[in-house]
Amino acid sequence: MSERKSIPERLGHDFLRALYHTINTVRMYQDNNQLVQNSVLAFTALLNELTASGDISLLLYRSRFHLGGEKLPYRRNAAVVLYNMMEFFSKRGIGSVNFSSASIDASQENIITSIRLFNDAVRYPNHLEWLEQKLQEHHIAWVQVFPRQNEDEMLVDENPEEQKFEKARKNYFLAVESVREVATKVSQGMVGVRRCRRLAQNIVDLVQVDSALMIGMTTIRDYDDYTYTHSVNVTLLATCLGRHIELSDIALEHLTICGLFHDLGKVDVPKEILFKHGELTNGEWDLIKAHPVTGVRKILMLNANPELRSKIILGPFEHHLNVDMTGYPHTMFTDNLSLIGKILHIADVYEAMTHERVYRTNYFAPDAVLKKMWEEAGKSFDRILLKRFIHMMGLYPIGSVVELNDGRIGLVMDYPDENERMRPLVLTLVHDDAGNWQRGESIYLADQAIPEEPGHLNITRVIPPAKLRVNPAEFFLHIK
Amino acid sequence: MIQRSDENKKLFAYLLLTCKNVSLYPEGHSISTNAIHQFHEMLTAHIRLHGDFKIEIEKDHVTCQGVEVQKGTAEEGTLPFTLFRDGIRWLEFTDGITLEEIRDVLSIIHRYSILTAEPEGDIVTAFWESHFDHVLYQADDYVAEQTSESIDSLAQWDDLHGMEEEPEAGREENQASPGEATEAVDMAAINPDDFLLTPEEKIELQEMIAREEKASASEHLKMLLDILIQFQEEKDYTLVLSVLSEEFDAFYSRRDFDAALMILDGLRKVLHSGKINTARTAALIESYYKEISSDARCLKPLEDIWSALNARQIEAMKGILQHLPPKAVPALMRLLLLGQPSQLEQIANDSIIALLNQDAGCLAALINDPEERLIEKLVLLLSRLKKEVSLKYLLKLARHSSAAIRRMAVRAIGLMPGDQMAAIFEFISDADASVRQAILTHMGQSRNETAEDLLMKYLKNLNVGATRADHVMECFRTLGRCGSVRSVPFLRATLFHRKWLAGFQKSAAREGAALALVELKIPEAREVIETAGRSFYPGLRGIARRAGSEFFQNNSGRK
Repeated sequence: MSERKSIPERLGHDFLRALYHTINTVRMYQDNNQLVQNSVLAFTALLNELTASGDISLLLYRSRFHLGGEKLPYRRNAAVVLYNMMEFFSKRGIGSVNFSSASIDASQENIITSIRLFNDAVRYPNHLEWLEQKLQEHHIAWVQVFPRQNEDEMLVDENPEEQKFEKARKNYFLAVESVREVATKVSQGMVGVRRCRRLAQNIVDLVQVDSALMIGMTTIRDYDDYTYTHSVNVTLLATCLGRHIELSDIALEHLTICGLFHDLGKVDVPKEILFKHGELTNGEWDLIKAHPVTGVRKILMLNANPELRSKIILGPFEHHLNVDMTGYPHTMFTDNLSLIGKILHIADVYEAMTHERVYRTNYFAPDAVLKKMWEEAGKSFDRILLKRFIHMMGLYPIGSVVELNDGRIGLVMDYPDENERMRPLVLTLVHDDAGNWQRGESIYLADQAIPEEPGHLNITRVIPPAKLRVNPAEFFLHIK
Repeated sequence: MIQRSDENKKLFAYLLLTCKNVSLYPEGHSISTNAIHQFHEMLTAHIRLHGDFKIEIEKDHVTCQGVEVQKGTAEEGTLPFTLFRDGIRWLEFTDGITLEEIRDVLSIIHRYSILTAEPEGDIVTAFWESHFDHVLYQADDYVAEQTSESIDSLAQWDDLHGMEEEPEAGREENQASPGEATEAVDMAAINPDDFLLTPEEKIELQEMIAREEKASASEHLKMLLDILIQFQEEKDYTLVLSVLSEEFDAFYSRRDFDAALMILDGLRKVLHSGKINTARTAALIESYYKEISSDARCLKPLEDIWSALNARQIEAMKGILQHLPPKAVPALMRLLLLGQPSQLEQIANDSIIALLNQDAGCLAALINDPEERLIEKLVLLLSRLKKEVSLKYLLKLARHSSAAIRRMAVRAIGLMPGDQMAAIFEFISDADASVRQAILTHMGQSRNETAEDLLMKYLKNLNVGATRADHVMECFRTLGRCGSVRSVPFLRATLFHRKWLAGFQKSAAREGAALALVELKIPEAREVIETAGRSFYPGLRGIARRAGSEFFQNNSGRK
C-alpha cells in the first residue's frame, strides 16, 4: 500500500459535501431518480479518488471533522454541510466512518442501499448496532461505522443542532434589544456600532447555516415591541434574500445592519399615532412619512467609519420608495434605488402585510401577500429581486400554516430542493390531550408528488396562524 | 513533553514580542517586519511538529495546546488582555497559515488595542470580515452588562405568545378573517417557472450585486442631499454638512473628483431650490463652500497631482473649481506657477476670473505678494476682469517695484477697452526705459487726439536739458505717429525756436520735431520741413534736409 499523501483541503470539503448531498437526495427520492443517480456518481468519483491510495476514515472529533487524519478547516461557505453532517453523525451515535479501497468495486445500487441504511438508522433505538448489522446483512464491506468514543462524548460540545437553535434564539432577542438600545441612546450622544456589527455578523453566519430557520423565526411577533420585532424580522428576511442572491458576507453584514436600523426613525413617532385606530390626519401622516429621514439622521449620529456609514444609510432611507420612485420620502437627487433599498422594501412590505397591525382590520396569509406583491412587480418592487424572494420563500412561504388534502394541518419548514418551490417540507401538527399543537411527522411533499398516484399529498390552503393559534417560531426553534 | 511545553512557551513569548514590535513601530518598519517574518517561521515549524497552535484565553491565565503559558491577570494593552476584552475565547493558527495572514491578524489586534467608549468595531468584527483561511477563533457574543438582564427577561418565550395575549387577536377570530379571504389564492394555478430568472435578468442581477459590492460607491451622496432638503432644523443641516464634508475629503483624496463635484453641485442645487427655510441654514451651506476651499483641503493637495490628472478628472476639477469662493483665488494663483498642461492652466485661469468677478477683495493683498511670477500671472488675468476693478489694480501694479511688472501693467492698461491714454501716460516718467517705451509704443499705434494733446503738453513742459535725448526723440516720434495737423504749429515752433544754439539738448528737441513732422506724413508737415530747408541757419537746413529725405523716402507717392 502506498503511503497516503496529504488530502487537499478542497477535496476534503467536496467529499463531505457530496456525501451530504447523496444522503439528502437518497432520503428524498426514489433510487431511479436522476438526482439520486447524479449525486451518487459524484460521490463515488470523489470516494474513489480518496481511496485510491488506501482506506480513509471520516472522523468526528471535538465537533470537527477529520478526513484521513487531517482536520477539515472551518469554511463559512461549508458551514451548512458541516453542521448538518455533525447532526447526522450525532443522531446516529457515529464517531467515525471508514471507507475502504474496495469501494471502487461497489455498484451504484450497493452505494444507494448503504446510504439508505445510514438514513434509516435514526429510526431504530440502537442506531449504530442496527446500522452495523444491516450493513453486514447487505454484504456491504466497503464501509464500516464506529461509535463515538467516550472521550469524545465528554469533549464534544452540546448538540450542534441545539446550539444552533439556542444561538438563533439568543441573537434574535439580542437584535431586538440592540435596536432598542440604539434607538434610545442615539439621541443622547454618540453610540458605537460594534455591538450591532457583531450581531449582524452572527445573523449572517446563522443565515448561512440555516436560512429556513431564520425565515421561520420571522413569524415571531410581539405587539408591545412591534417596531423592534418588525425590524428584526425584516432584517432576517432581507439577509436571507441577500444570501439567496449570493451577496458576499460583507455586503450581507451591511444589509443586516440596514435591516436592524431601517425603522429607527419610527421611534420619534408618538405611539398614539403609530398605533392609531382609524385614519391619520395629514399632520400625523407627515410624521409617519418622515421616519426614513429621521432614521437616517440617527444613523449619521452613530460612531461608524465613513465607509460603513455610506453602506448603511441608503437602505433605511429608501425602504418606502418604490422602484418607479413613487412612495416616500420625496427625492430630488436620488433617481434609482440601491440593491439594499430594494431588498428592504420587499422584506418590509412582506413582513408588515403578514402581521396584524392595529390600524388595519385585516392582514394576509403569506401566500396571498406574495401574490399581491407579484401584482406590483416592476412598479413597487424590483421584478428580479421579487422573483428571487418568491423563489426563496416558496409559493407556500416558509412559516405558513397549511392544510393538506388529507385534512392534516402542517407548517411549511423548508424547500430543500432548489428546483422544487411548490412542494415543501411540511411538519405536520397534531393536537395533544390538552388541545395544544405538537410536532407530528415531517413530510417532504416533493417525495409524494406523483400526480397520477392516488392519495398523493398536497396543500389545499394556507391558514393564518392566528386562526389556529399556532406559533410557527416555536416549531422552528424546537421549543415544541 | 517538557520540550513541547518549553516550545509552546517560547512561541507564545515570541508572539507577544511581535505584537509589541508591531505596536511600537510604524507599518513596514524593518523591526516589526522582521519580527513578523521570524514569528511566521517559528509558527509554521511548530505546526509542522506539533499541529495547529491554539491559544486559549481565560481571565487569569493563557494556555497553548494545554500548556499554561501565562498566569495572572493580563496587563492592559497586552495581547491576552485585548483578546479577552473582546470576548475571544481561543485563537488558533492552523497548518498553511501565510505570512500575510499573520501580518493582518497582528495589525487588527494592534488597531483595536485601544477602544473608545462607543467603538465602531473590535477585533472580532475585523476577524470576521477578514475571512482568514488559517486563523480560527471563538468569540463570546457581545452583550453589554446593562442590557443582559433585559435580554433575559425578553427571552422569556412565553411572553411572546402574542396571539394568545393580544386582545385584538380574539376580536379578529370572530370577524371575517383575512385568512378566509386568502383561501381563494390558488397557488397551484401559478407556474413556479414564472419566478425563475431569464438569462438577461441573471446578468442584470449580477450587475446590481457588483454595484452594491463596489468599495467606494457614491450613490449615498445623492441621498444625503435629499435629506438636506427634508430637514428643517439647523442642527440637522450641521450634521449632514459635517458628513458631506468628510465624504468630500474622502473622495477628493481618492481622486474621485466626480463624486466630490456631485457634492458641490448638489449643495448649490439645494441652495437654489427654494426649499431652504431660513437664511441661517443657507449661510451654513455657504460656509461649507468656504471651508472646503481652504488650501489644505482642496487646493494644496492638488499641487502634487495637478499634472497627472486624466481628461475626466480635469473636467470634474473644472466643475469643482467653479464652486470655490473668492478667498480661494490666492491658492489657485499658486497652481498657475506649477507649469501644468495648458488645459489645466486655462481651467484655473477661468476659475480665478469667475471668482474675482464675484469679489475682488483678495486682490489688495495679492498684488503685494513677494512672488514676482505670481504677479506676472495676475497682470495677465486682471485685464479680463470688469474694467473698473481691472484698471484699479493695474494702475497699482504700474507702480510695482519690478520694471517687468510695470511694463506688463501699462501694456495691459493700454489694451483695455476705451481710451486709456491718459491713464498710461501717468507713467511716462517711469525710471525704466522699457516701461516708457511701452507707453509710447501704445500711444503711437494710431492717430489719437488724446495722445497728441498729452504728448504736446508733456513736450512743451519738458525740461529737455534734464531729459535723456533718446526719450525726447521717442516722444516726438510718437507725437508724429499719433498726432495730426494740430501738432504742426507746435512742431514748427520747436523747429524754428530762436535760441536754437542754446545747447545740445535743444538740438534734440529740433531733431525730434523734425522727426515728428516726418512721421505726421501730411502736406502741412512737409511744408514746414521745406521751409526749414530754406533757412538761413545751416544747422536747421541740415536737420530739414535729413528729415526731408526721410520724409520723401517714407512717403513716396504721397507728395
